[in-house]
Amino acid sequence: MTSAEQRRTQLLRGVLDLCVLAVIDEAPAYGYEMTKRLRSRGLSSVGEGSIYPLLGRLERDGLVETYRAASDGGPPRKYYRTSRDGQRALMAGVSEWRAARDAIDALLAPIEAEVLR
Amino acid sequence: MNRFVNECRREWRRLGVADAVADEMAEELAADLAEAESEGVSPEDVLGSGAFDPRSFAASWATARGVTHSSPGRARPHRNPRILAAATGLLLVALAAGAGLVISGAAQLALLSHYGKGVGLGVALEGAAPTQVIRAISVVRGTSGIALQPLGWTLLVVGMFGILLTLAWSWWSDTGLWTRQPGRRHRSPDAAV
Repeated sequence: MTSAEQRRTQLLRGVLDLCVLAVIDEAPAYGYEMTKRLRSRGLSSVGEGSIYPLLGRLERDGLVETYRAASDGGPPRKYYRTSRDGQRALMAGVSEWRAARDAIDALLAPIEAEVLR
Repeated sequence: MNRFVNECRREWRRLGVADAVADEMAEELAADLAEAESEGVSPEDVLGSGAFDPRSFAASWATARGVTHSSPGRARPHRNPRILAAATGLLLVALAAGAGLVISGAAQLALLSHYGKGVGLGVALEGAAPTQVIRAISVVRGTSGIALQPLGWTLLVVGMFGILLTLAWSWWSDTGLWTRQPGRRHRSPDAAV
């Protein structure tokens, strides 16, 4: 793994719970479906870890609810959806992310300008 | 794929995960891996590095869900395949040495009794083939210091008993020494928690 990929993985690791909550807040999904959705959004480095332990933690903390339902042509699957607490945690997390992102952007923006000049 | 899920099941059982919960997790995992496989996606892409170490993967998932119930006192001892493999190797050597001593000792005793029961060694070896003489001399030398046949039997019994014990230990501690596939990689999965 290159250092750029490592950094990306590390960055994602800190906010993967938010990404998963956001993905299932759009529509309930089962485990593999979430992986596909995240990958389709360019978050392929989620594959460096597994989302199952994360889903387990979210479930334990009551941030997601689960139910079983038939999938398209396959066996019944365990679907995850955000709970009320999960939606609140998502909103709080997004605010924290934006604050951190803005601070980092402000710090790094001049450096980017230097490079482009 | 089934092997991976079965390994996870074994780990969940070891950790005291309730059967119903373990069944649910195994079902979920199996369905996801089957779907991924049907789409040509490797288990690595679904499970990350956890695909190489089902036990760690299963443990991190169950721990994150808070469904493990084994206390340190109840948990089965942690496996150490290297120590077990080394012990098995030593026991096999003891077994082979014991068998060798018993077989060669029996042959030499037969030779001695054939060529001169109750007479001196020189008389006993008279007329024996050179190789038989060498073997007879070696056993007589051996028996002058240590009784080789009883030693052989002791090694045989210890070896067999020890191997049975390691088999039982391997089964009890879920070491998987006897079912381990050669070349399987063990990496610590980077759980995304």
